[in-house]
Amino acid sequence: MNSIKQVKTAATGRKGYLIILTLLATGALCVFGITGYFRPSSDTAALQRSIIKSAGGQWDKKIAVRVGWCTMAFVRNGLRFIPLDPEPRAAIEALRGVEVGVYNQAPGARCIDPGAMFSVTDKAMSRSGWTRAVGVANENEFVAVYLPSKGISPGNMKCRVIVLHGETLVVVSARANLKPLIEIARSHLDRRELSLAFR
Amino acid sequence: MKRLMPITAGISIFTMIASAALCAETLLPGQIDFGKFSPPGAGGEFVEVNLSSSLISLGARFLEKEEPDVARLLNSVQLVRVNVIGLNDENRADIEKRAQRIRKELENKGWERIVTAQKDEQDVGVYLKTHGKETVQGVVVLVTEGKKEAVFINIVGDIKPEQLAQLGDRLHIDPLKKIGHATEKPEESEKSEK
Repeated sequence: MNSIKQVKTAATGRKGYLIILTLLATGALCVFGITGYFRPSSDTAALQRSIIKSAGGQWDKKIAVRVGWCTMAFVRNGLRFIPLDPEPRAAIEALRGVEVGVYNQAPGARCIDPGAMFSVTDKAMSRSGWTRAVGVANENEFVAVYLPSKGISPGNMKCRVIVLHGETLVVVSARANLKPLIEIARSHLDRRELSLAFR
Repeated sequence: MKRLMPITAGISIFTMIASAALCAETLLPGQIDFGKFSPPGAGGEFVEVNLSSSLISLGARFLEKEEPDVARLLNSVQLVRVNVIGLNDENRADIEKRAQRIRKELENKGWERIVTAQKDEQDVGVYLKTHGKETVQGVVVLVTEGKKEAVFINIVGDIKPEQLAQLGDRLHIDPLKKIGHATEKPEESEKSEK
């Protein structure tokens, strides 16, 4: 009788351990998931590091937000049950993921050399297959827009934008499916054509 | 050992020639390598735009229905490169030398200079690379504005001469607009007047 009791107690103990482990794992996953919103992806982090290194001086992170495909899919599905105008719906449906990092330069830092910044960011981006489509530099302003060298399509559009204005640096990385936007543009045109035909 | 030296030298010369040929091959028929520009010091102006065919055709998809002519025109463009560099004492000589080198290269490669405008300190040159009489493979616009700035533009594609005005209009390149209107067929210009 005693042995049966012991076996039962051991089984309950094991169950208890399993429940505690599951709870801990769920908690850890939640913490990892939530902190993930404030942690840039490895590629973006490498780019940010290289920009800050080339710009020199001390930079303080103001904000860093990452909304991945999983959250965007959740938002897209959730929005199906909410009445929305087609334009904002198309915009949200188009966005597949976005990362934004805002940094402020500490006062008294040295002037920025845009030439050095371009060469450092170009090198860092070309390593992962991106090329610069636009580059603008003027006094305290610096803008660079990068696109993938290959594989741009309406269904899979990616871009990275670096903007430095005065002492504020903004790094944005976005992924989108432009098809909903193209569709909305076409539907607007169809409506216009129809109204012209009925006049 | 004595034989090894000429073989090594031969191989390295061959590799150099082959890589140079490969680099030349990667350039499209109407494409000109301006080289790499770096922003001028002391906060001078610097703009660089480099649009590939995939990005241009992506833009064309947005216009397919609304402006099919423009979409067709954009689909025939393979590359657009624009460089605007502010001039100062540090880079003026270098940029002017580079503009001269590009002009010489264009003349040597058989590009046709269709516009020459020199006034005060402004020098505008528009060059076309044509394939037969029906298509323009490349357009180069070089503008040096004395002490202010230099502009280098290269458009590569399979463009019809009568489309040049539309292209200049869409890309906001004034010299191209003017040439385009000059090359427009008389019937088309009559139509547009109507």
